[in-house]
Amino acid sequence: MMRLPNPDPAAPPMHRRLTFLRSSAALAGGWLLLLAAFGVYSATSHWQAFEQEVSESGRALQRAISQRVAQHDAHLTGLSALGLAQAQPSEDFDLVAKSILRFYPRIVAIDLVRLPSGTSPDVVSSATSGDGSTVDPAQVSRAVEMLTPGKAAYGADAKPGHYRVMKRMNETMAVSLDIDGAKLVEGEELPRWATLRLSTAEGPLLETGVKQPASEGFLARTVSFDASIVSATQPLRLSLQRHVTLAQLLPPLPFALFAAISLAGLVLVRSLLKHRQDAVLAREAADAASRREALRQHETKLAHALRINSMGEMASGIAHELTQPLTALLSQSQAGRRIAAANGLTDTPIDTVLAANVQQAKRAADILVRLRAYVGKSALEAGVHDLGRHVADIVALSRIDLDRRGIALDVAVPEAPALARIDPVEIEQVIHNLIRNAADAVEQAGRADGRVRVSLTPAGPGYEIIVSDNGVGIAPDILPRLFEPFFSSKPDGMGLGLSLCESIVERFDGSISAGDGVKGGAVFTVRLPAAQDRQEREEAAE
Amino acid sequence: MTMAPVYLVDDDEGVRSALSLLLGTYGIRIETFGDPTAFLARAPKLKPGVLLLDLRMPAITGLQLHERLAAIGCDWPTIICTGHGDVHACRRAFKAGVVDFLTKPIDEQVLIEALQQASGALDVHAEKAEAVKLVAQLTDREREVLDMVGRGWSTKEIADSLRLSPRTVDTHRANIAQKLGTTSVAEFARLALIGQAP
Repeated sequence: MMRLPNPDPAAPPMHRRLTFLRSSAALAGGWLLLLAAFGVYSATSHWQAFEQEVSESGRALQRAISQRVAQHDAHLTGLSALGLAQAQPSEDFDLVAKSILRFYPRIVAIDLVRLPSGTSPDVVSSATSGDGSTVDPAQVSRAVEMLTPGKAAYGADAKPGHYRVMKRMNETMAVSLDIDGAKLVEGEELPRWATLRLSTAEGPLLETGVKQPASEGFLARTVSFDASIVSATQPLRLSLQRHVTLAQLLPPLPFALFAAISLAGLVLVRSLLKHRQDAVLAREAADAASRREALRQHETKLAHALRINSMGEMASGIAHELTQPLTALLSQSQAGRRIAAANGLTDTPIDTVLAANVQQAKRAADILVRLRAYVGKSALEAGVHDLGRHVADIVALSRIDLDRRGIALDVAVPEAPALARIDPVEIEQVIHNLIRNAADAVEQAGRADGRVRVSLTPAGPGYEIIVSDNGVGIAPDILPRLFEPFFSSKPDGMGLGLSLCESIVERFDGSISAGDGVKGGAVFTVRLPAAQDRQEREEAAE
Repeated sequence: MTMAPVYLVDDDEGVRSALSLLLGTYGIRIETFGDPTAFLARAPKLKPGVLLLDLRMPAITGLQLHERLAAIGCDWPTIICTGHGDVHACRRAFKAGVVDFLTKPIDEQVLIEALQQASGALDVHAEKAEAVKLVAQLTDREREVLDMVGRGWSTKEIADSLRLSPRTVDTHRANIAQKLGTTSVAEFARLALIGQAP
């Protein structure tokens, strides 16, 4: 009998590719990649925001400072007009100068200087707000020396962070403003984070705001904004800087949050995938189990039919074998009685004995009739079926056994349905028997390239199922008795298999024959008539 | 009534000897064969008889033997015997032109009756073959005349119908009587009826 294959359902490769997620290293790697991507994104977007803020603040400062230096020019013009209108120094000039100092704290000193005409220059009038430095008339004189009247110029101041703007009023007079550079920016205009530098062509003028750290720090950067103050008299350069640390580019809290959420997400995805994969594997295992169960049921059904049929075949074989001697016995006895009668021996003891023989032979015959009737009772469950399907089914079932025995099993079945009036279980049994015999013959031959072929082809008014092998073949002396009941070439054979095959095939108006293959081995041919009328075909379609 | 010879083909020696003994007590000529193939080779040389064939024999079945015998002209009445009592084999047997189908073991009475019927069938068969052979000797004109005589026409009526002189018709009748070996009008009618070539 056949055995079931080991329960070893190989999972399809499709689900292998998901298993990498089961590795913790891969999970950690994926997580780090996500973190890196988040870090780059966060740093880039923050950096852009910082750049924008610095440049916006810088431009605002540039506008404010430009307006203020323009005011200085305006004050110089006003003051020089006032100075010229009064030939002598007056209180009016001082009054205006003091008022300017009060309203504009960045202007810390206003001086009216008489330019030398042979003698050294001197200060005619001076106003200062306390922060202002004492004017050096010689310096003013030198600064305006080359200017034509009405023109102004920039000048350095002795006090750090201060500068001067000077204007030549006429040949003999000049006015000078002392500006506190730090006050060009009013308190709240400079952002808390900013470092502001003002410089002239000669060099740095001042630096204010937050102190730049001595060392940049890990991955820290500086965002800068540089611009010129457009002014003929005060050509200042503005530089605004912001120190940005790693913590600002990559804020720790959102980063930590992202890290936690992404890790949780990955773990969740992994467990979902694993769950799904497990479900797929479980389903496959269930499918494989149900396929095996279906095969097993098919096998059981076949084995059951085989038992029933074997019993019938055995009974019918016994009946056939007994019938022959019984026929001889009956006929001999009847002949004996006629011979006795011809010799005037009617009603003698010898005639009585022969009559008893006739009676007993008929009794035995009646027993055989009852036995046959019992065997024949198994109803014929014939219907119209597709032979191709059942040939394919039984080949699939037999394949398990032949695979284990290392014998190749080829099958060729046409696609078009091959309809015949059969009982599928019985016909499957015939083909199953033939395949098993073929496999035994191949094994007996001990060939490594053992091969059994099963084919179904239309032939004449019906179909031919051919089972061939490359085994030992059929000995010529065996061939005529091949389908006889109780005749077997196998040491442990009952001799019912082929006899049963013949009985079954003949029950469906078919025939079976055996012969040698062209290239050795044996060929068994089962011929079955095709289902004929339309009604039968419709029956099959239902 | 004389029985035609019986040819028994059965692979079982016991059956062969028993049946030949039994039929011998009835004075029936019987020849037995254990090998169907050997019988197939001998059959054409045998006198027509009744075939008693076993259904199940090695290599060839009784039905197949019957078909092959018919194919070589030995289409004699056939009785098939079997130990199987198989309905399907039975149906096919009658389809193939077998006259009877007996289940083994065969009872004496049943067998004798079946053989007598088959022998009768063989007689008819032989009679027809004889008639066909006789009628085949006639010319076309003689066959026409025979046909008309068989229908009960007088010489004059035949002469008018065939535009012949009554004398010529009488000559034909004389020739027919000689060829058929009878002058009986009833026998003429019988031969005209069954002697048509098949």
